[in-house]
Amino acid sequence: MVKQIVCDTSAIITLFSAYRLSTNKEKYLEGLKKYKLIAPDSVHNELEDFTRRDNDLGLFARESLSYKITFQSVELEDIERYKKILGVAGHRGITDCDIACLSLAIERDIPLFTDDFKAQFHFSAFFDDHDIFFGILFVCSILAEFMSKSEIFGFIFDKLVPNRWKNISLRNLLTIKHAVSEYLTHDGGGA
Amino acid sequence: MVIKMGEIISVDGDVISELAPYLEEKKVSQSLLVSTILKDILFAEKYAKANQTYAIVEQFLVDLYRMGILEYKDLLPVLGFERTLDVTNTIRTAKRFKTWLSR
Repeated sequence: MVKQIVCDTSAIITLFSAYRLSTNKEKYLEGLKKYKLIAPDSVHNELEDFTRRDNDLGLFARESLSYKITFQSVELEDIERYKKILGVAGHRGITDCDIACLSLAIERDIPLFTDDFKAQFHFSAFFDDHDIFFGILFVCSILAEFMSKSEIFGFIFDKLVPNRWKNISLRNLLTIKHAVSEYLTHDGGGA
Repeated sequence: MVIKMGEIISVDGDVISELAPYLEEKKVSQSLLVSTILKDILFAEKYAKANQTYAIVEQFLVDLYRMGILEYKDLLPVLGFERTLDVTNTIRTAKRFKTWLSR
């Protein structure tokens, strides 16, 4: 069965950065096709803006728009309602687009994937009963279909992170490291 | 620090005998503990050149938390309230993601 998920712009960029950098694109796409990617229209607009850039981000955005993603509109009322719940009227770096993703995921009762770590922490604190995951973990699960654990770890930190996040902060680097290590660990052991 | 390939790592016997029952209780093997420390140092050396000391400390504390040796409250004095919330949420998110995948 195809699982439906909502992805925000940051998660989509991560997904297609990994696709671009993957040495086995066919198997990567095979894994990706097990999911139906859904995003609000505002994500489409953000991706289109990125495509105009003459850098890696532009390249990854163009890659993502050539893939079938279902874009849907989100009512302004819904965005305003979630804004009130979250108390984030334009601060903490959380945008209307982030909130539109959250709204879509909650209304459809499907997981949200984001690599905006601040937004993930904030949303999780308010909607603890909803699945709000990191896009990079989704990438790990796709890679796990054809790579060993040590290959995944190497791919993430030698290839994906330096290309996807230029000048990444130590804080975000360590957040990714903790998440990936936990994902790659069987229960009861360390990575 | 240089560890040569194939070098036998010897650890003080007294340390092992004192540590063993504690690790056994937590179901953590001595090899896992040593391997975790070495991996954390290597990660800091390779990827966290800006502040290797902090990177080693945070990784080690979080790994001990993941193994069940440390608790949330044990992270607070070193990582502070905000970062402790962030890292424990990160671990919970990854665990939850694995559960979601297996559904």
